[in-house]
Amino acid sequence: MEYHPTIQTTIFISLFLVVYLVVLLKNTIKNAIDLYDFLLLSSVAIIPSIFVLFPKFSEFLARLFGVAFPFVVLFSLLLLIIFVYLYRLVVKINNLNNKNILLIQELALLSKKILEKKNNE
Amino acid sequence: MPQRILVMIPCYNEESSIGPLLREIQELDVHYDTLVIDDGSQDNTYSTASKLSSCLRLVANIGIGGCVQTAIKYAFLNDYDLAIQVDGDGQHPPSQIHTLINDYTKSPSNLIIGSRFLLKERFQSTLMRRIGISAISCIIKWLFGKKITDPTSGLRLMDREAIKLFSSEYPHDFPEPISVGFALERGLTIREVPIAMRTREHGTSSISGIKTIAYMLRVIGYLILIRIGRHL
Repeated sequence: MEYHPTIQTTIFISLFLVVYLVVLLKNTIKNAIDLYDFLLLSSVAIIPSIFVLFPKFSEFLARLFGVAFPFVVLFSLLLLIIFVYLYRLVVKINNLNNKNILLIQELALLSKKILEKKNNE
Repeated sequence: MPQRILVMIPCYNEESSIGPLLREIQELDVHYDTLVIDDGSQDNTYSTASKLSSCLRLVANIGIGGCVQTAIKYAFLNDYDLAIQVDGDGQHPPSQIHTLINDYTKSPSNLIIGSRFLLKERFQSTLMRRIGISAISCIIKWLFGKKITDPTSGLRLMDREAIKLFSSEYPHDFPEPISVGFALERGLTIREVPIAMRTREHGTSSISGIKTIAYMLRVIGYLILIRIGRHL
């Protein structure tokens, strides 16, 4: 089955790509997100754009993965990116939580040490 | 008898029970160094406890595991021979501290747990919790080959080796049963002694009703992870 995106779809996706990338770039420059996160998040817009702007390539991918419709590959790729991103976030949150606990413990032990020193003087 | 003993009392919003508990400990025949760890309480736990004992204040609530580990780190840094954990809610009669030390003196083990189920008298928890504890106990026996009747007991004695291990590695979630798995996995010796527990006079337990099932399932999951961890 041949796949032909309409002109409306192409315009909408291209606009989304530009606006989304500008927002992401701005936040990356402000250090709100790191470069790796920028790459992952930008691919959420870049991948659909590739599928729309290069229909022959998306058909090739569909044939390569043995699926009837290119959008199946598109959504699979997007889901994969979301899972990778989610995994990274879970690991980051756990690391931060462990560091937070460690810091609170060290702070309490250090405060106690200082208090004991003061009392001994 | 070991020279330096630290009684660690983790607390979270226990202003009503911590005072009487510390006074009871002070009235014992033997003097023990006590350390109250206030896990970011919102009530007057710290001010009440600091009048009667040495205290550590955590600036935010980090949970029972992190709270107990702070005390274990303190015991390790200050070179204590034994560290004894007693819950701050007053459920563990301070007289039982002697029971643990006497048992350790007779036959030393790295970890000695006070079990309310060996001596079938006084408070033994709700039916739901007893079922959960039995299930965790069975899983520990199956995974590590050691029967522990009361793996969730918060009354326990740790020797230097256990202090060293737990100061560097201690579970933050469900610490009592999971630390048993940790200890058995690392080859530490564990024994139980019969103790009598009291009912809680103030406050309520954080684990009740449906939470008991969730607690049991998560603990079992963690124990399985510890067991298979070394094969990965």
